[in-house]
Amino acid sequence: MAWISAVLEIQFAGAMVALVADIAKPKLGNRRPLVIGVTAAGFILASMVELVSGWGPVSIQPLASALATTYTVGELGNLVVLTVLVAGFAVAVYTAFTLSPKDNIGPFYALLMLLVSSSVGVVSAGDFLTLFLFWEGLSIAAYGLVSFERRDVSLEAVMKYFFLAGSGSLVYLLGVALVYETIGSIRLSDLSLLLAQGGNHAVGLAAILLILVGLGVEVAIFPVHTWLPDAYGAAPALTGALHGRVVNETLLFAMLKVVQPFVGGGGPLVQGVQVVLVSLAVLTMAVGNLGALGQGNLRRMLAFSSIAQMGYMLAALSTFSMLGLVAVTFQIWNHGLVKADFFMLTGVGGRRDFEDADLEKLKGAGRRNRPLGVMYAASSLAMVGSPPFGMFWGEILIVQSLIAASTVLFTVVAFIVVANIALSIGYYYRVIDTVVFSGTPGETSDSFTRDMLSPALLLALSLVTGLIPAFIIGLL
Amino acid sequence: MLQAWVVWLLPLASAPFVPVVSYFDRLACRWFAVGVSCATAAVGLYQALAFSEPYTEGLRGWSIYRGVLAQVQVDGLSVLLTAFISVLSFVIVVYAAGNMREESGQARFYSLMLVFIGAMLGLVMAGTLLQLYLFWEVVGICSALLIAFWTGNAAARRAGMKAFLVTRVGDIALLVAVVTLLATLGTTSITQVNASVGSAGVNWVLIGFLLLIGAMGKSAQVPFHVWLPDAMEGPTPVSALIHAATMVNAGVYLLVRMSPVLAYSSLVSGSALVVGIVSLFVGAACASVADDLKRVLAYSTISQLGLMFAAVGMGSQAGAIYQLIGQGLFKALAFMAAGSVIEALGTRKLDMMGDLAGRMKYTYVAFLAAMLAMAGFPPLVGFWTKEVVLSAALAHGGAVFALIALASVLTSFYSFRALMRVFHGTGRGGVSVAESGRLMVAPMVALVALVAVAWVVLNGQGIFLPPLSESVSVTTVSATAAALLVGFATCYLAYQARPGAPARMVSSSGLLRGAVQALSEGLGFDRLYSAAFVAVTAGLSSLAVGLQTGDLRKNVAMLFALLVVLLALAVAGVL
Repeated sequence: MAWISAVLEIQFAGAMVALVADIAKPKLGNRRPLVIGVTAAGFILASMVELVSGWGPVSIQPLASALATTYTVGELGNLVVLTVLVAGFAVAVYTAFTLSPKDNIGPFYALLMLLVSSSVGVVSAGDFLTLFLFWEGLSIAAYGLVSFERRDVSLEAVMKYFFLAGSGSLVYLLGVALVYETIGSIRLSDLSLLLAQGGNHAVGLAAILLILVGLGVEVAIFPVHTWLPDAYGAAPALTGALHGRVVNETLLFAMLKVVQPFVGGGGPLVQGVQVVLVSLAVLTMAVGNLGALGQGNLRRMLAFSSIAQMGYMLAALSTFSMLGLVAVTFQIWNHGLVKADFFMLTGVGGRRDFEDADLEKLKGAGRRNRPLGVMYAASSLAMVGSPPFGMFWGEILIVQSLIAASTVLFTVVAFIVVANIALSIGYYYRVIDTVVFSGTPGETSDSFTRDMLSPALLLALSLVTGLIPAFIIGLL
Repeated sequence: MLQAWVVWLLPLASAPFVPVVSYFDRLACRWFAVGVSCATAAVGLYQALAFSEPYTEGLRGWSIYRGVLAQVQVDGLSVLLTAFISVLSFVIVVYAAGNMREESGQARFYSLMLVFIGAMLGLVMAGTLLQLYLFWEVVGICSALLIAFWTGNAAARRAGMKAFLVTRVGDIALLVAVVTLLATLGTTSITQVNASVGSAGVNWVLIGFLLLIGAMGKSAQVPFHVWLPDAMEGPTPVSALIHAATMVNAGVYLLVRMSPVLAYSSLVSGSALVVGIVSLFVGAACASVADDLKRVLAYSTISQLGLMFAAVGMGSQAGAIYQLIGQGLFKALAFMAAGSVIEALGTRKLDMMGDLAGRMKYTYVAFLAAMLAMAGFPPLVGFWTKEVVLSAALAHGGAVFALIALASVLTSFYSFRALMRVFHGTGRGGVSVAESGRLMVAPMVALVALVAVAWVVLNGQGIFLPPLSESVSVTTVSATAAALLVGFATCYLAYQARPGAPARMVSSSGLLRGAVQALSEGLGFDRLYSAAFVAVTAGLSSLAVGLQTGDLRKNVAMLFALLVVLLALAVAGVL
């Protein structure tokens, strides 16, 4: 059995177990979050073991039917699946220590597992229909997690998210219909047939643009990025780490899968898509960084920073080169680790509400608890691409892919990317300044609390990636 | 045989143990740092003494990036600078053990110092530009965090952020240069890049300019110099090690290391010369009016680094490296003495100083030696190193020689001005002042000795540079002597013979008052940047935040507007 089937089955089984285990509420008592959380983490860990032991490309069609779903995962997809599983594992461990027994534990972990399994499905989808089905599953799980605390603000955010993501899905389906109309197939690998349309490429171009824009809504590209800061703000720190990272990056990888068949190809269709993607990339990174500069709430700042990161990755994607695809995948891994770590940090110490992430309220938190301060400082440095963290190499790969494209346009974009990375120092240094350096120290503590375990694990992985990037890049 | 990379790996690997040692004994961590830096200096010196021929050594099995091995380049330049940096670091860490003894946060301080030392040594021994850039970033981070060491001081925190941001502009350029070379040549090996200069497929002029901008950021050259005076908010040992003797020299090192790229285009080398000359004058002029002792030294560093850039621009790598070593020695000494004075008086203001010569004898001798060396007084190291640059200027052309000689007058002026205002004249009555402790005095004594005799060692090292004595000529010595005399005489008249005369002159002339005001404010660069970048960025940021209205109708409308535009462009054949 291919690892993909095993991973999906384990995740679905895990979701069921979480729900069933929740029925035993009275027996588990206050240990309910810990027991169910650790169980969920165990299922995700088992999926990771399956993936690592079967590491490599997979292409399967479970049923011998023209309309059957197909799964195709290359080397790049393997790493993205690992990213999703690592983030899922970290969140399961984190929430096991931070959720309250009063919370809706069973449904929470069921949604978590559904989110993870749907993400794996999106990454491994071999055709547009499979991709769409898993994408919908992913969105449903995300809606549930964003509104998990059922506060007014989170319900409003999930409505915005629902309408915009729903619109995105419709746009995507329209694009898929056009693709089917043009080439008679909805397989991703058959997309290259669009190149054969020659001068009559307008329909093909429109189809690809519709698909990319539809997916781009959940990637939060400009100008459809507006749902993300609301969703990040509303999502509890408990789940925002997973939701923010997994949804954006899984859908970005779906965009990559759409682009992949055109790598190495040329012609007006490819050029047209490139121009659109690179323009949106530049605007996305600029709006993300400039927006982050104006935020006083750390979670919203992280949301805008994620938008900027999507811009960098979209820029590399727009090169339509293998190096660009490798750069995007490697950065998904790096960004996924550090952003999830950062989001969890905002919730350390029981800071579950949106207002708890106001920078004013976080003032001096890192001085009062030194391990927390070190982690805030290290995460901020990692986010601006400082060595020795993995993002340093990820950003180098992105810039390299742009320069290797050997056109004036991409060289200029390379400069813009690097300038934007520099701009991000403005707000991340502010985080260090506020959380770690400012405020009165008061009573200091060196205690490393249990809710710091997951962020520390992710940060350590980023550090290891930074020290041996060749190992990870070599997997791609 | 000792592996070459041990010298930078030793302090880097030791840094995480500082908090561990501190956990058991808060003060023991300083002795641990002293021990590690001593061992590092021993390895650095050993490498220099054992050096016979250049080679490149990789860390076997550690491929840092797509087949690019982490490697060290062992050649004359790297071993010379490794010995210099490691020895100076040791001396300054010993000084810090005395100067920082009362401070809290010792573990953080010494950890960062050791990481900095390791990264700085890694930078000068890097075999590839990618590796050099990696260490370049690390020293920048350490610098910013050490500037902001006194977290209770808002000015220090702001200065840390400013240093990080401004130097990042240069880092961007360097990163693009490195990645461009990787993408076009397929390598960032320094040896291979230098050997490929002129080859097709690479825009060498662009690479040259990017390297130059990268160097300007780190070495605080105009217009990226604004971070260095503010960086003086950090602890004095940090100023001495990072912002005078080592990190700020990284830009010069980069240009020397990549000199074939610079030499490829006269436009690039000419630009380096112009940047150097402008920085030489701007730094010297600002140092001549600054009223904060550490800022005087910071501006003088900008000026001295300008001299090194000018040397590189003239093609005199030897002049740049000699000046780098000489400046590193006497400026570190100057900062140590300044730190001793500041600790004794509790102020950095020159107006609050004076008449300390008899009361802080060791510190006075140290500062005297540093200022005389900076002014180019023979036979101190500064005299010899400046001779090499003047000699190159003489060969390059009369105009450049005249400009550097003129700047030497200013150098001499601000050096003697600082000396007279701190140690001579009238001081604050009734303030009891005591000489610093042995832990601070001993390193100063060691550096005084080095400033006095380093030229003998440099003259006979035979590793990388030609003998110093070859550059001395009647013309260059005459220029130095004239500059020394004019600077000293002006200073003596202004601050010793007729104290108060400069203030009266300035207050009686509107033009002079305006000039002094402008120089005191660093020629308004900060205000310009505030208006040009900070205000514009804030405006754009408001615009970006404003796009996020939270109104669902507007959000969906934006999606459909995007679709309409894209489909219209596709159908119209524009795409």
